[in-house]
Amino acid sequence: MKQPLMRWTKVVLATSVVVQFIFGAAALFSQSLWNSVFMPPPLPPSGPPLLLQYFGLLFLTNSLGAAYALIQDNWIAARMYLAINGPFVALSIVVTVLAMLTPPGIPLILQLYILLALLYTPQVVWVWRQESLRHMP
Amino acid sequence: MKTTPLLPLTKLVLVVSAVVQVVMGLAGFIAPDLTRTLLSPSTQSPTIAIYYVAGFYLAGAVGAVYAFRQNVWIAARTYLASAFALIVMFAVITIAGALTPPGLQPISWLYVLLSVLYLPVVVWVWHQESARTA
Repeated sequence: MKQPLMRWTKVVLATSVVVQFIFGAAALFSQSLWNSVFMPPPLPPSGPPLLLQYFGLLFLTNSLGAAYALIQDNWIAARMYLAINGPFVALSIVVTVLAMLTPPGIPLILQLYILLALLYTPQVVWVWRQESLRHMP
Repeated sequence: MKTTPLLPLTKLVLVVSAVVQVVMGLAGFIAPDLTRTLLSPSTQSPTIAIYYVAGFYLAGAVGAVYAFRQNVWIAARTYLASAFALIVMFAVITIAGALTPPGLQPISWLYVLLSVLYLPVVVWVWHQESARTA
């Protein structure tokens, strides 16, 4: 478990840091940006401000977790982070697809989120397998 | 770093983290209206937002269980670093919201109390585990 992470694992973690930081900062600092760009109509406006602050902090601390795993450069730490974020992304896909199938549906940008999540999840599975093979006792 | 098994208190912190988040996550998915009216600090949360937050909680519970099962400090600290930061910030904004008119639901104070109990324990196990594995 002393080997450094593979480059692709670092890319997955770095992507998690950046994407979640952007979402967190948007939710935390700009309600109008969040409700017009990140979660626009026909979704109901995300509010009150406290809810958006909670959202923002959830994303920012997940971003922090990914950064901490990246800094440690250790598979035990990285898989710990991925074990949290993988299920979250998978659950988010389910929730978003259910919202898409329920009137009034979802905006185009949420379909983009689904696409990004569908691209991200197999990367998590792939790096998990590769790193597990490398770290087999 | 040595790979000694976790202290019993560290395991307890992880178990409590998992149980609380499973309860909150399942409540959000199974009973979003109940969550909105009883468990959420605000009664105005849209249902889709409750589902996303429930997803965060369930994923956090998976993380706590996984850290518990691995039984090594590197895994536990990666989980606890995020959990600690999140709960500190949640407590701050919850107190700020509760003290600002019109305030929040009374259950918010229970969350603040639980956070105030949880955070020093995390600090304590962090010190203890870091000293043991240094």
